[in-house]
Amino acid sequence: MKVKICLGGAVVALLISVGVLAPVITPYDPNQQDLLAALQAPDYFAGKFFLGTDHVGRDILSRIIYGARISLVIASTVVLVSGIVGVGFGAISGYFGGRTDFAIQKAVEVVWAFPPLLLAIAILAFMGQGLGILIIALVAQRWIPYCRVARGQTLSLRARDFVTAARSLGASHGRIIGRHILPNLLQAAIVIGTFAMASAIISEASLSFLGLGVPPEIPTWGSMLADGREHISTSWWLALFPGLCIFMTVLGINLLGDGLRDILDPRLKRASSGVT
Amino acid sequence: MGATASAETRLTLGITSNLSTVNPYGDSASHLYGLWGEVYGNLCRYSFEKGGYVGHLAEKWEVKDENTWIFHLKKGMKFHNGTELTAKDVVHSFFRMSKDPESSQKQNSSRKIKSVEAVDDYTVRMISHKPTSSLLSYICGLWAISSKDVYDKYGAKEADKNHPYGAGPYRLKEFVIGNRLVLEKAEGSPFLRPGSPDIVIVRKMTESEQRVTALLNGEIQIAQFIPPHLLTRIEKSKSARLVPTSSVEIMFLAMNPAMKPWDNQKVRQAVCHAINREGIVKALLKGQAQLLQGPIGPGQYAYNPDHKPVYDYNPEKAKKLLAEAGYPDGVEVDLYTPVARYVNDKQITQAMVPMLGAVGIKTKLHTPEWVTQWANVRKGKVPFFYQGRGSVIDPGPALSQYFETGVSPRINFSSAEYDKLMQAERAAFDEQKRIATLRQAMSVLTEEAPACFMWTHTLQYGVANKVDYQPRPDGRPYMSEATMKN
Repeated sequence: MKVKICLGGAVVALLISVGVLAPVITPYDPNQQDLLAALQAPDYFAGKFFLGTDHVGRDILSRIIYGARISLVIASTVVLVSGIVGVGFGAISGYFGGRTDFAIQKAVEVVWAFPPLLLAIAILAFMGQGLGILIIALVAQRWIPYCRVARGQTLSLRARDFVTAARSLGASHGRIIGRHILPNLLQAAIVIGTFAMASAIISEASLSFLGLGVPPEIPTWGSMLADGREHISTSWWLALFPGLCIFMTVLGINLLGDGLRDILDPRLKRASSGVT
Repeated sequence: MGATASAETRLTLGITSNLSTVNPYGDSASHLYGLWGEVYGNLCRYSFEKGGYVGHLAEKWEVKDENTWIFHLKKGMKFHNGTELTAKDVVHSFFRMSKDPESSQKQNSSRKIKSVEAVDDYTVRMISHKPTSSLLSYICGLWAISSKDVYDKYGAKEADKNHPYGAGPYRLKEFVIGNRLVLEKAEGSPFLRPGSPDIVIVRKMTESEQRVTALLNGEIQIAQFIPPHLLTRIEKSKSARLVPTSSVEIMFLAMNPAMKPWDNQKVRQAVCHAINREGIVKALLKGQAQLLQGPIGPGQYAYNPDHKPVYDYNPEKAKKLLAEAGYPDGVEVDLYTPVARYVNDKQITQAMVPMLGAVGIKTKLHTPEWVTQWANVRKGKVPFFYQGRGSVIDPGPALSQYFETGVSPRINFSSAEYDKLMQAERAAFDEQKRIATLRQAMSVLTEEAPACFMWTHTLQYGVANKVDYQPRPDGRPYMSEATMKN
């Protein structure tokens, strides 16, 4: 468990550091082109371009570093917004029950019926390309898992003594949800969030690969992979390095998520210690 | 079928463009004109060997007066269902191009013609709205001739889909929209050559890596448009070779003057000065293109070898023009490009973005799907886009279609002087006068700059060694011209 958290945490810490320090540590502007230096192979020691250059002579290392920043911004925003929306609706749904619960859960079922990537493609096709639109497209379905889990837990929490006590003391619904329900939903939300982060990175890369993500001038790992695909037999470095970054990042975040779930999910904890 | 199954020869062609509709009048793209020409047959075609138009279903033609053209059809030309092709089928085909709302994309080919009449079974009279000396450019290789009887019996959709009987060398066996088209040799067709493949499969393969790998694996026998960075893979192959052709497709950056800032001529000229075309041809096209100094280049009709370059790569001049246009602090624009429709299209426009940015034209690049891009271009909704216009042997029709007032909304350019010259070139039946007028019109166009004319590509085809095939500069894939070696 600790190994998972350490490894996953290290990857996430590296991603955050690289993203934050991107302007300081990149050797070149990620969009700076040198047509005469196009498709230069990686030269790890003596060369001008550590990981080589792409088809229009842009430094791949600089683009990967900036790509980390984009992945981080998109993934964390998607997780945060999805979490707020999903946990909020889930808590309201579970707490009030009745018609409110019915309406929210029907909406959940409708949205859940769409394959996530297809829904995102439809939104982007309709609204056009852009960072904000991409985030909306990714949030569109990612709030659902938060909502379902939060509702289930709220149904259980609202019958607990501390909630009854707060209600009998005259606390408002808002106060009960805000002060007594939501803090108890946080642990589950964190676990869901780590997995949602990995899936958001993959979805962003997939959409950028399809040319539907952020505009082409913004370097992302997915768009780098798409550009590299056209040169895969002759200039392998264009696709390999962004592909490796996506792989390592998703693996790292998933490891962290696994580790956190082991710690925070009591049922799993009991199962692992032989208690059922 | 004449050939036995074991001896059946099969040729698969990997193309980059879309197979959009089974309606032979429903899309205007070079490859589709060629493929429908092979199924339905054309009245006439351009022969690059002879340097002029030659008859296909028509035996010959004559110009009666400036508005009247007479076409004499070959006798005994049969549709694939066995009925004879006659003048009424030509009249019917004109009707489908000019009146059928689903054929609107091909109306450019028929818009110069007022009426088409059957004089007798083998004679067709065409009357043009106005004298049009270049009328053959609007007809040859473009008009597919389909059966009136089949249309009357089944209606357009059913006839196109399930009874696509033409008089060309191949019958349509299967058409899967957006994927593939299968043709089967029409035994006995006079247009077939000894060794023409029995079965032709045309597959949409937009990824160049995919086309090259399929060619080297023997999955396909002809791969269109090999980009420069993949040439070595085929050069090293023992089973395939490169066959180049100098394309007559003109590549340009169009700027729609109906939208700001493209209403200002100086901004358009600034764009033409801002782009380092030599650099792009050298680095991204590896020399596989010829720069254009006007709308057309060497080998195209009315090309003027004495025409001096107007737009050199001059960022300082571009900045100055931009300031004079009222944008001293720069301007933001949106550039649209198709992806994998033309050789290195996305890469080329990516390279243009910082060049434009360096002179103050801050450019946001958009890469929509070709279907979306093409639909929007045709409606005149795209402000600034990278585009090719194929089949420019005689530039008259193409330059009219894209730049003459009211002909198509694609660029929305309008110039009274240019319109007058284009009308005059069409009315000129004296060749020297026509060439001189066309050159004048092209000079006006270059100066007004509704588009920056970039280059024509040297298109490289990958061809399996067991196939003899010389691709045409106009991009028509006439597969009956390919022959299989045993």
